[in-house]
Amino acid sequence: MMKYIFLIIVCLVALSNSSEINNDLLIENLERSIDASNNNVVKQDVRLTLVNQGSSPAQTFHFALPKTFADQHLSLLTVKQDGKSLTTSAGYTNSAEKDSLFYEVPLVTSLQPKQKITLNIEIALVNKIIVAYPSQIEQQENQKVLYSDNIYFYSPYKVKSQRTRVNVGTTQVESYTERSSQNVAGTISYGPYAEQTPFTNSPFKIHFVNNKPFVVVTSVERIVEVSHWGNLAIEEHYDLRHDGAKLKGAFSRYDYSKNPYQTSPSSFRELTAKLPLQASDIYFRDRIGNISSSNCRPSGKDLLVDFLPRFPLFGGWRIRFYIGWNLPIQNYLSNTNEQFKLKTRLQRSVRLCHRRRFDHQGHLAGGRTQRETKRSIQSGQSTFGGDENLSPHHAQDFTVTYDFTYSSLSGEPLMVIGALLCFCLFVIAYTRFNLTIRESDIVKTEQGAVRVQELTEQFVEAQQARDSKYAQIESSLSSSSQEALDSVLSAVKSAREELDQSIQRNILVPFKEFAALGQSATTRALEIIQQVERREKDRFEAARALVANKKRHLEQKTKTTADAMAESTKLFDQLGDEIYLFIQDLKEL
Amino acid sequence: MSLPYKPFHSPVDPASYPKVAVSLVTIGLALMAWFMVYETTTSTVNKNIKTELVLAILASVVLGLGLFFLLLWCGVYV
Repeated sequence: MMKYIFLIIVCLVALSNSSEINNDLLIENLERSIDASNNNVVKQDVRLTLVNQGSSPAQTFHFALPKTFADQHLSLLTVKQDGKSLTTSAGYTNSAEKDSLFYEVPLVTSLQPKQKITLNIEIALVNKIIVAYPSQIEQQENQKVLYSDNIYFYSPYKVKSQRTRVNVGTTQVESYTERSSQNVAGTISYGPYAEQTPFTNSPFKIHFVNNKPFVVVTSVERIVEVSHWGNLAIEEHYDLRHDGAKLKGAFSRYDYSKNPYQTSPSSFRELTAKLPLQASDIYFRDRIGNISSSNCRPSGKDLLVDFLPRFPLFGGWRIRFYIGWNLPIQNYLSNTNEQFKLKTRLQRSVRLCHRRRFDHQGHLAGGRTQRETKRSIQSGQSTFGGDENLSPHHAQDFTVTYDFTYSSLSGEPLMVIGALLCFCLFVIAYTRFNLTIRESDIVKTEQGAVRVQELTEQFVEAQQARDSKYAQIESSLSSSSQEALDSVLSAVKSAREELDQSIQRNILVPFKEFAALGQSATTRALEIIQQVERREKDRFEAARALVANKKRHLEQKTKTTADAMAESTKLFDQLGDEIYLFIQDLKEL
Repeated sequence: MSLPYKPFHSPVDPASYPKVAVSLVTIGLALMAWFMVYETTTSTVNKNIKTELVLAILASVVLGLGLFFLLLWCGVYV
């Protein structure tokens, strides 16, 4: 609350002061250099020496322009004292001088009586400050333009001495207002003029040839897309117009193709965009699609992209296109915890001028200040207000602060994972679906065959497990300890019983069900399995007998016992071989 | 604004996207193939829902991440 009261007081104080023009101030010397060589924007650099002739110190300086002129043309105003930019107020009118618009500039240090300071004022003027004259020309004619402005510096103070120098960038000057003027190689100087009263306005005109692109960006839209996975994508949509002398008569493509610079001097084709050096994946497209005739070249800290639109532009013609590029995020996005700050340069990349009706005078004051907008980005999209009547000198940093939770970073990969998981779950469900009304015999037999195959494989595995048990018995035979023989035998016996049970339950029972369907292969497999099972029982008995004989032989060590052992070994091996052959048959089925 | 702002870096270095994408997609495709083979060759009676789910989740996580990084590598920034 206190802050607002303070602000209101400051505003009131400012208002009460601002309407008064300090008549004690005098501009002792003024040098104005005007660059009118560019059709789109006229840049004026004014260097003046200000003297305080009064008795009290002066705090502010007032800059003034005729109201209609400022409303139409003024794009940018900066006042510098010793290289430091001073803040300028928004333009306002004064009851004494209704036709003027005043800009109040508080000085860095107050100007003491009899003291001097030097101020530098930069002004950018746009919006038909230079007009094509004649306004219609033929394809082969040169474009002539007319620049008119005040011959004196429009000042609320007396000006003791002033000079103006206008650079038109060409020696082909058709005519110019002569008043103590001089034309030296395309630079026309006016003055020095002595003792001018305040608010003197006397126009001068310069008519000269200028074929430079007379181009206006009627609108530009800049889309900045932040990906927290490391990319900043920028796309700029342009709407361009050639605002120079309109093309009269027909356009001859034949003449144009001979030598555009000579046969169609007022047209232009090539555009240059200035991008940051790290820009990658640059594209240039119009409504039809990609235009590949572009070229990149690094220049200092920038990357210059020259591109040719599909057709040249003559007076009154327009074109629409868009360019885009990617930038690494770390140079533009910073954060503290979950608050993010995106800082980009608010500047059009294509180096042209934008001229439209002037709405926001407030932007003059904010010309060089940093704007900070804070909002939580929920929909992921935010639109920021547009500015109008901008000149290329209007570059400023643009900062957006927003909240973003780290967990939302994982949203995108989770979407892909989720889609795949849904597919997998569908597959899991689909393989279990049975959409038939009644199971057909064919399907049943087919499924049966697969099941039989699986059961057979399981049986072969079980048989291998049993074989490994017998291998344990065989290796135990070499030992001479009876206890060891007994323990191995009993262990094998119990393991074998378990296996037998599981085979009976899990393999033979379902197998018999399938065999009942009457498939010959199934019946054959079942026969073999039963044969194996029968021999398996005998084999275990043989193994048991073998162990018993071994034990007896260990006790007695006679020829009879040795023979008995050899006999049982033979039987055991024979059964093993038979089983092996059956299993081979089973595998081949 | 008490805390200082620091430059924000992507959780995964964009320079390593090709490597990450290729390796994850390779492993992911192998896992997905394993899952599909299991689904199509094992009969309904012998299927184990736990095995199926574990395989499905593993395959979709790895392949999903792989595809995501593949998109980033291609310049489809999301």
